[in-house]
Amino acid sequence: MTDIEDRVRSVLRAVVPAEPDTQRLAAGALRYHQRARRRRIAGAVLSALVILAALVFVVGLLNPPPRGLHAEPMGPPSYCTATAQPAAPSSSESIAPPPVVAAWICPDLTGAADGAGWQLPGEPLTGQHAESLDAWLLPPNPSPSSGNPADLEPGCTPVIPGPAYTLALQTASGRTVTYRSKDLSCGGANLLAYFLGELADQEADDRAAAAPDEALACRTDRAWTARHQAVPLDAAFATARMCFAPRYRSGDPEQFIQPMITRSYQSTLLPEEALAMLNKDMTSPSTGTFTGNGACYGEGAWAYSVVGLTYSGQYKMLATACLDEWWVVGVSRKGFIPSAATRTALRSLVPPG
Amino acid sequence: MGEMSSVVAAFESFVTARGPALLRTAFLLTGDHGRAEDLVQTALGKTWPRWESIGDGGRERYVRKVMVTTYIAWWRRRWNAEYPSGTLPEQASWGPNLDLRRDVLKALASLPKGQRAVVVLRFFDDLTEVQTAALLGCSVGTVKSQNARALAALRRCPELAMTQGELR
Repeated sequence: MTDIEDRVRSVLRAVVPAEPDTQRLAAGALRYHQRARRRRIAGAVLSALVILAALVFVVGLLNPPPRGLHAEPMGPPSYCTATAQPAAPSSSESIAPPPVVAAWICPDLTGAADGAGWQLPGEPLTGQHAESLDAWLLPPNPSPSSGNPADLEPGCTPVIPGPAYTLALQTASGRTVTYRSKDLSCGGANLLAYFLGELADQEADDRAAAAPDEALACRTDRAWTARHQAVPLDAAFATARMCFAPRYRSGDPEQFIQPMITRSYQSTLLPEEALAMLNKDMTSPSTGTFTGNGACYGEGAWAYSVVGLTYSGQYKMLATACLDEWWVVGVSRKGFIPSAATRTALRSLVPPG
Repeated sequence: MGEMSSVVAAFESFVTARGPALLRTAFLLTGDHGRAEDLVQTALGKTWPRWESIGDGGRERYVRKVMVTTYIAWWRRRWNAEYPSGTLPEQASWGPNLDLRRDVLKALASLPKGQRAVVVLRFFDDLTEVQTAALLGCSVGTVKSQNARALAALRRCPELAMTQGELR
């Protein structure tokens, strides 16, 4: 036993909590199991649909319909003029270039992969929405169980191939680095999924910044917390809007497969009845306020939030990826479980994916 | 129905008995009380469908294996409940170990997930290299190399550079 091993052993024992609270563990685990079961069933249905769509696509390629007019392919956006040479990620760890200030995706004219599995975005990411993109520069991992824990990453879900693309990242120093989608994990599907989600967030945040009625403007929790303080869970909404943020998850086997096309936030003012039900659940002492997490991984094409004004005139935001639990934005792990009636009322407002 | 409720009762009593130990390991893996709770809940939830078939003797080992593989597979997933907070209620109970905890958790957080898992399993759960390899589903050689890299990185942590008697 070396000195450093002894010290690590002692220190780890010194820093762990002495009596962690286990009260919610069993109930949370059973809740997780129920949710995972529902997700598996829905995932199996969606996977079957994807396979069916792929078959239709392949049959279409083999038997192209006669065309009177041949549409020209859409030209790449004007910013697709990066001269940097595409580079492949060099290790399983995220490559961390200096802070990324802008990112854009362009068709890779040398790429062979083509298909209808995704649509390339037509806008760049800028500012904080581009900052974390480099974390998705992971190389393909052909063997997720290669034996090296550092190499482990989820396998790729069956995604219909899309057009090959290049990703250009511009750093604060003005340097541009370009990557090919075929050199990224899951053929670039993971990175594109993240890009499309951030693009929708960026559009919503930009719109919210210019909205005349800020209290009811949909935006990301990051943008909301940058401007507002959290209010207590039991502060009821006087008026509120329900927002739907596009979700794209392609590389996690536990996720649904969402169509990877550019989508915008959608929203609707909460009808009086739904608002009253949400307020009742949120303010009732018997609601089942909890601080644990039922391992909500998302349940469909949207993530949800509610923004609005409380009766005391304060801005308030709730967010969730699953309609059976809601969290107060700005407060660490403070949430509640809505009643079945409230869930049904809110679910009826969700737009089709 | 009665049989099901007795299985649930056995599950709950396992969680009551072994939950604290699982939470401590999860805390070192995640560095956060809430995420530790989520990790253990998830591992228990994944284990639940096989609860009866695993049998008494292997349950904890099974849960731990699921917990570690789940931890590694939680791959850049944005945490739904991870919002900034003005208050950190758990800090009050950290007492004089606050600085130590912060520095050590920071050092652990700097390790890649695989290395962090090896450190926690080897030095907190006191598993042998062979047991660690079995839990992680990798070779003993991989555990050794991950361990060596992790310790080299942890040597840079001031708290770990001190001798044992100097630990605050």
